[in-house]
Amino acid sequence: MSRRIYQLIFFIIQNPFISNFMTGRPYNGPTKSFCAPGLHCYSCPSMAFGCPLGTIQYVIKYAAMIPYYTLGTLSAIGAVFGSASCGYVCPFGLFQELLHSISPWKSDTAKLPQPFRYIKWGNLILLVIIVPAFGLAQGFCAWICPSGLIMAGLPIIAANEGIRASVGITFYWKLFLTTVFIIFIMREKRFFCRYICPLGLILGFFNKISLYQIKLDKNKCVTCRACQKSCPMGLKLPEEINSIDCIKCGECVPSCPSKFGALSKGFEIKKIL
Amino acid sequence: MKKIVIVSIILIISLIFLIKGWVHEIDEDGTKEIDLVNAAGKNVCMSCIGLADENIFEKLFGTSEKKDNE
Repeated sequence: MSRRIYQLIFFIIQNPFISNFMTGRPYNGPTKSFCAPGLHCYSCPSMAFGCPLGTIQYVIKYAAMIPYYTLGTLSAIGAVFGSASCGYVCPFGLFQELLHSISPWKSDTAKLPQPFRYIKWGNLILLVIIVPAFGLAQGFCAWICPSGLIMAGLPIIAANEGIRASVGITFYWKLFLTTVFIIFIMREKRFFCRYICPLGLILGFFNKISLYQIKLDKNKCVTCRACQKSCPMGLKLPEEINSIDCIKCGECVPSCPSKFGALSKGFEIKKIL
Repeated sequence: MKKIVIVSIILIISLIFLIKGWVHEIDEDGTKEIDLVNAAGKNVCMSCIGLADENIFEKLFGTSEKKDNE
């Protein structure tokens, strides 16, 4: 089954309550106790689950405690799949890929210099951890997250006159920033994942040790770089396979010429057992 | 083999964290972390929809009005 089919299935599983867009109110049933491993706002009317990044900030800010439950969720997912949920589950990843595919000014080679990837680290440490820890704000949600604005902010504001009347400077800042992100996403594939997303970074910590791996047979690899051309994250392949920035989408695997067959993907536990 | 041991340890710790979130009470009212997760997910989040116009500089440094009253 192709990766796009997985993405669409997970999108539907995460967003079954489409009719809630008419009322602009989020679903408030029992599945909100569980966090889906992708960047999708828990205030989105159709969303069935919680957002792990938003939940981390919420718990740190309002309870002044380590968010054990969400960290446990992300650790379990990361240990098994690494950041594969970025490639297969995340709705905002899907949105970026679809937007890029129809873009008239897309480029398959455009990318910012490597140091720009450290913006993700700054977002994680400063906006997700430090700013909420001081009780100031849910930093990333409040000031950066375009998924929240697109999937929650705009539909809720459109459906609720009272909330619409409360729109202020923060909303316009997020609208401006989201517009900038969309322009860059249309140019550079998965721009947000490459440079901005702290959730992908958290899951990426587990990439080297997760059970699900992209496997490189170094004896068969001739470093033709065919895999690099197919990578949506613009990584230097094959060296950066399973690196912290890899989303384990597996697009590199079929791109390896069949006469070499150096790449494969799967769960390593099969080999161990 | 080493990798499976590391993954197993992480999964055990994850399970402990998950159980802690469901069981451990964080205040005198019996609130558990899972209750916070639920609350976060069920309400319209002003931060997420761009309406959190909190003045963080006021929170950090206080307002001049408060200082005058002191």
